[in-house]
Amino acid sequence: MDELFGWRLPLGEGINQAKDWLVSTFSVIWNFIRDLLLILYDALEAILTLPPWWLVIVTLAGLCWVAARRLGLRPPATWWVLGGAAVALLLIDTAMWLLDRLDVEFTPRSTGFGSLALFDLARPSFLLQFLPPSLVMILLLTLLGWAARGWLFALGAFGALVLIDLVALWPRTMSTLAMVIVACGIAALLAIPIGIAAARSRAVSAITKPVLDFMQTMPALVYLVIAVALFRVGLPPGLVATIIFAMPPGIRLTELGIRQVDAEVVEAGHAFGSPPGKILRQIQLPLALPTIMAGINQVIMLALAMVVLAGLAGAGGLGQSVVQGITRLDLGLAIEAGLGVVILAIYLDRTTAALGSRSMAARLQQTA
Amino acid sequence: MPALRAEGLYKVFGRRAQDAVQRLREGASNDDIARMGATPAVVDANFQVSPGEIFVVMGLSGSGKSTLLRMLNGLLEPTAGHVYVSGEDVTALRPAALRRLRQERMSMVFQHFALLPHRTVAENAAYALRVRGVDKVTRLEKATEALSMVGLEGWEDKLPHQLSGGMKQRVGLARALAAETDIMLMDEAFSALDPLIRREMQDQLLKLQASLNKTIIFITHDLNEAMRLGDRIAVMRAGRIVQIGTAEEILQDPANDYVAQFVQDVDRTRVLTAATVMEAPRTVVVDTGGPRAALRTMREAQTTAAFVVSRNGRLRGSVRDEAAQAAVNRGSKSLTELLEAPASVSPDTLLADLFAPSAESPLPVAVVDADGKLRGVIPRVTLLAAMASLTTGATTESPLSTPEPTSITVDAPEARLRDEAAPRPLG
Repeated sequence: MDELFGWRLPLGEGINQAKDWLVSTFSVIWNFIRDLLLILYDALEAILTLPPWWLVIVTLAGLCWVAARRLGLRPPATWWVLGGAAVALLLIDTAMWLLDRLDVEFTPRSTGFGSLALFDLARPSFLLQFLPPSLVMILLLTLLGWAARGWLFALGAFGALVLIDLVALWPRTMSTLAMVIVACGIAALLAIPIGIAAARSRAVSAITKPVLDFMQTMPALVYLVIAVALFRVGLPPGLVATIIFAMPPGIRLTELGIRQVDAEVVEAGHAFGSPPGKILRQIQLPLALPTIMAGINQVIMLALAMVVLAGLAGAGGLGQSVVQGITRLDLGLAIEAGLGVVILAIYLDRTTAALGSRSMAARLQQTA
Repeated sequence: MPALRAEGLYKVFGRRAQDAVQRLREGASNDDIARMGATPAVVDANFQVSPGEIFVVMGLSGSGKSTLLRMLNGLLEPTAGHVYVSGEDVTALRPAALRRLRQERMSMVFQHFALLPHRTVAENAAYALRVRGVDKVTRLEKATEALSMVGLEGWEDKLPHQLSGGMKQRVGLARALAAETDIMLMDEAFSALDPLIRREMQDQLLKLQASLNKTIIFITHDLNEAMRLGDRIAVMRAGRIVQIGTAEEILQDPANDYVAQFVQDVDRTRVLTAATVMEAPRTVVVDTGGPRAALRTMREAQTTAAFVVSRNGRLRGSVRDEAAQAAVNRGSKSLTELLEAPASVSPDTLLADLFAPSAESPLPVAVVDADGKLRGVIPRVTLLAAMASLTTGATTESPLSTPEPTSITVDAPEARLRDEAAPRPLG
């Protein structure tokens, strides 16, 4: 007789029953969320693993634009550079596709991309006919890093990313990156409006504060369990848990940034008869941008931290490698995967921080 | 119709604000209300501002002046009372209409400039027009115009952080001017500037006002600023308006001890004018009268000099009793050749500018209007008394400063006899 009074409180059964009820009653919602997340993830993962033609063209043309500005050109000259680069790349790409279509063998890598339609969104870039897909993606990321932080950072990024490829963890890393982008994108989309609402209404702020505290301190593992119950094992519970775990800094810093905008400037907006929406767009958001970007930066970092736990729920990516390493007691694998997470984290942190500091408000803060 | 009228304005912060207003109307003190858990910021404010007037609200920190200003354009909602702008009740307007009012009729200048740091000077000056929906070209044109009115041409493309405090406030002023509103609210607009710049800005404002004639409501805690700028001044204390009047009225006739104490450090010589302190001239002689008549008048009034005016009151000059006596002895019948030119000033001359003429002339300073008519005189003693804030009735008027007690005052006939003996030194 283990039970007190000879009777066992059916708490666990009650919770399980509640869970079953929740899952079946709102199954439409859960399935919708699950499917949406899977669609977003699959698309992103495909793009990152086999960079499509339009991504390469847009990125390279954009980098030409950045280079033009760095060299001192000003609009409209910079727009001409952008347009010219885009057109040139498009022409090269089309030519390559044509050649591939006509089965002209000129590289060892002609992989039949020409079988896809010219403007098929999934058609890989012509560069993949010369380089392995991972290297193409590494180059794009390196160039992005150059645009954000200069050539020294780009060099380091190149080396670190190649290292990941050399330990055969590139596909998993791209999977993790896709997860991070989906999770952070959704988290940012939810966090910024909530933060704005909290900044404008004392009531909303009072409600969100305890909720945020809860979200940040509740062990993420518990989210995972609930999410798995609702969305079934796989990627979606990992994403949902990541979104919930990573959102709070976005909300807090958005609210903080907007509240910290000089009250007198906002008052001036009111005094000259500006409607509240315009005051938000023209005064508060531009001036709060550095703080909001700092919030997004934190969202990204937290999302990466969740990656490993997401691996426990079967989400794949580097998290899965870490879990494998732990369960098989394979220290080497665990450290390789952990290193991959760290490299990705540093890269994303530095790049997004640099992009955030280019806004007018941020530059003003730096000179102040 | 007044440009702006405040009627029974109350602002109470905290709980049970309406209750508090009711209590205040019944005569409760601020402490009673504080005990209720509410804070009275403005209590029963009533005033009117005429078009083209600079109306200054003056008070110490916490007197409620900034709160009062913000109720005028609806930034703060009054707990009770009404504000009428050209007859329209601002307090009853819906938000959209209130915004339109602020766009078109009222602009504001802030203590800490309130410029958008991420926009250029020109874009800042054009902000009010942008809110109103004016297209980019027109609004930048008007902004550039406004900026040159305040002396900032050439700075249009700079950012606010590149400007000094005084220049930033000029941009704030330009922004309010570019809005082309009738009414301008200025919230301690010059309080954050250093004294020299503050004076320059006051001069600038007065100069602009001379050509633009806006209705300005100006908040300040600086007495001298209030006295300098204000056509009329309202003194506030603990949320209540204690006195409303011109600078001179407040100086000469403070409503209570608080106001009197408040203004005691004001530089009176920069507020009071000749017109405020002058007295009626006691000895005035018409130019057609002749030396004999002049002497008789002076003897009767027991003065040693007299002012000579033409038939229609225009000041011709002054004449002294010795000169008149000498003329009588000579048999001359005309006053004209005896005339001396006295020191004369216009009625709106500040006291500060009367010291030099008063010191240089042995006669009282004559106050002469634009037509040349003699309006009054200011003896030295009167000038001193005005500075000491004594009312003018306390002085005994005499055209010459009375001699020191060591000498004996004798009446005119005996003085004449003495004069014939030896020339008398001037007082």
